[in-house]
Amino acid sequence: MIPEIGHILLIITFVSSFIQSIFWIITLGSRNTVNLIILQKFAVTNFILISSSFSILLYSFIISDFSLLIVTNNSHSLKPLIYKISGLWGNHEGSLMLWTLILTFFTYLISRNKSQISFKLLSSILGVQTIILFSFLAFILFTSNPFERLETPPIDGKGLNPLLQDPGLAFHPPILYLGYVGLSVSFSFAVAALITGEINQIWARQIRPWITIAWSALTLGIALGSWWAYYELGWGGWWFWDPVENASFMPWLIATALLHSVRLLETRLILVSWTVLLAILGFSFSLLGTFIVRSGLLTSVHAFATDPSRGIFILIILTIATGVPLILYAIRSSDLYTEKKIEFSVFSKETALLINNLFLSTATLTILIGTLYPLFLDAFNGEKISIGPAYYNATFAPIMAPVILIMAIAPFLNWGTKINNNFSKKILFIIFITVLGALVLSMIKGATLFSIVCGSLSIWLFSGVLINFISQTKLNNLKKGEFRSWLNQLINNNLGMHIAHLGVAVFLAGITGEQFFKTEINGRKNIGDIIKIGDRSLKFDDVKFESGPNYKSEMAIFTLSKNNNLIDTLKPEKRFYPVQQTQTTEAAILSEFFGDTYLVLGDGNKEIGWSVRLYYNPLVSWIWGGACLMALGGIISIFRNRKTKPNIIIRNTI
Amino acid sequence: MITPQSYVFADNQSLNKDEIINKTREISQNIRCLVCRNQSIDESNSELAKDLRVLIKGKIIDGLSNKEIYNYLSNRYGDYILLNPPFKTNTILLWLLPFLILISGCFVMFKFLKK
Repeated sequence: MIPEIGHILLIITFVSSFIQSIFWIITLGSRNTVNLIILQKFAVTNFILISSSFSILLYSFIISDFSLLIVTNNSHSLKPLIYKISGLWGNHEGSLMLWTLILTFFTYLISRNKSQISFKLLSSILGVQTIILFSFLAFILFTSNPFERLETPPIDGKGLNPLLQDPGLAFHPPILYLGYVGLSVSFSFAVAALITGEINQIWARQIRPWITIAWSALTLGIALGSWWAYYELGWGGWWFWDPVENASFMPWLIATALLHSVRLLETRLILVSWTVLLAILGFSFSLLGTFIVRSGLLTSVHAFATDPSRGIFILIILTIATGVPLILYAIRSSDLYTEKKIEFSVFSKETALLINNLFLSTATLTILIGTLYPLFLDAFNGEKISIGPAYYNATFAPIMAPVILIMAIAPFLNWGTKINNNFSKKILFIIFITVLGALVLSMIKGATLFSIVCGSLSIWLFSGVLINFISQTKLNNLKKGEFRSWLNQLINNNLGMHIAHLGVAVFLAGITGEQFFKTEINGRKNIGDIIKIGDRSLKFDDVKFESGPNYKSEMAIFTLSKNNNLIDTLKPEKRFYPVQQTQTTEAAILSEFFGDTYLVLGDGNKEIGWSVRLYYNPLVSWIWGGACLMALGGIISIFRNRKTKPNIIIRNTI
Repeated sequence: MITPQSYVFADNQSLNKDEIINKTREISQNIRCLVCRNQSIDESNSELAKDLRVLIKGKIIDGLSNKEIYNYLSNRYGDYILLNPPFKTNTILLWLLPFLILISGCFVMFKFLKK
């Protein structure tokens, strides 16, 4: 009975979201503020209805109600509680429920907006959000009903894919969805701006926290997914240029470009229509990602819950959600706002941000081409090709290099025509440090041209961020006495941006270490054998057979020591999950500041020994550390207080 | 250096053991494991991947160049097996589009700046 209530709640929200959308369209031209209040009330009820329905589904997972198809297929009574919960979004139907939950929550948050944003703009934003909600509820109810019952419930469930039973992956989808859905908010802002013709600095100031939230969440979500792939898949890699990874990376790149273009719009009122276009495309790319993952169109390590009929449904949503705004854009963008002629020098923030946007958009398109080209070629003449990392190293990497170069300099450039007086001094400092760093790098054993270039870019950015941070904090005479006001001043002086840029530098350092200086040792080893890694030795002590809560494990015990001093014990495992009849390898990883010792146990027995793979990955954890810094920087910048009052308000009503 | 069990050795006059492993791995990283989902044969533990690695190693010992080995594999299995798509008539757009976009983007931006 309880699941039926959940289903009915979904149907009620579906019908009411349809009525709300119609209501919004009818009242579009009206100047009556009551309409906005009604839409705001709807936003609250939608959120309450969807969260109740979601809670019912969650409850069914927690009590293991196997009369529900989704629970039977994705859960098992013996599974730990956290994976019973994460099992909800570890599948297609449940993940859509999570998607709509976040959507209604965000819509509710926007509806509570009490700032200077005009009521017409706000009603349109809420209206567009409601139409998105309506489309996704239609998708859920017609193709992917999570409350589908089984006529004869089985005694126990099939369990969740063991690879997904992992703390990293339990939180990967929700965080990633915060990002995708966050981009739906900036999409609604853009469409609402096109409809009302109202775009100004208030618009830019209001949209920016949403882009920042979406961007930070995407950063964290992608990093979490990559970290999971690193320790769970047992190949020692962290990024594979897989279609599904690309699907999440493209919205991230667009969001990054958007974050910077909106800054230009906010301070200088230029790139207005370009920013609107990016905001529309950000969400389109999120939908495209969903389409790629769910349709099974492209082979990927990650593809799950693939079903062609669902693919077609998402394709329809994608076409409408991109097509209609683009048509609107073509008609309306020219009379959105006539940009004033502004003057700025070549060495100005404006130029730097323009270059940033140019290269980031090109990079996004490059990944789009790499992801979809095999598909089009196949459809065109039936030829099948594969596109692997080599393609992206040759195209994406050189396109991103200038972005890094400019990232170090741009923050200390001035707006407009006044060139920073200390400009040449700072540049010389950065060049000096980078040359020094490149020399040190070239002396490392195994250094190649590419490793020196990659490492130097990281050092370039490190020194750029450092000198920026020092000069900007000095400028404002910080009072160190009061911690709160000191912190506030730091935040208002772009602390968030500095930390995010520092994150990129840390990330690049991690890539340099992992890509160019890793060592790998492969071989068949037996108990008692010793493997040398640099000045450390790894001794194979024992193999044990144990049982976990829902698996059986074969665990090898290795001790890592230096000069007979024990550093750590490494226990790589092979697990067998009887419910799913699958085997997984659990790598043993000793993660240290300067590198990871990564050990994988293969097949074997006491007679012939076990095959063992050992990697030493220098600086690899800096990759995720860098990503965390980026996300942290984003979150900090949301708290930035914008004192400047908007000076121009333009209204072109329909 | 401990040798991976799947890279079995034979004598080769011109290359030593380490060079053969390195070359085999370098090529393997660019060969798709056809039975896996988006993995190179260097990463995969499937039977096909093991067979192909042995095959590539054999070709290296026979003295074939990297290019000849890639050609041999793509003739036998199709271009689909190459993770690094060759520059041919059907991939011209793939390789050139990113740079064409960048160049035209620069051009548009330059016009914008002049304005």
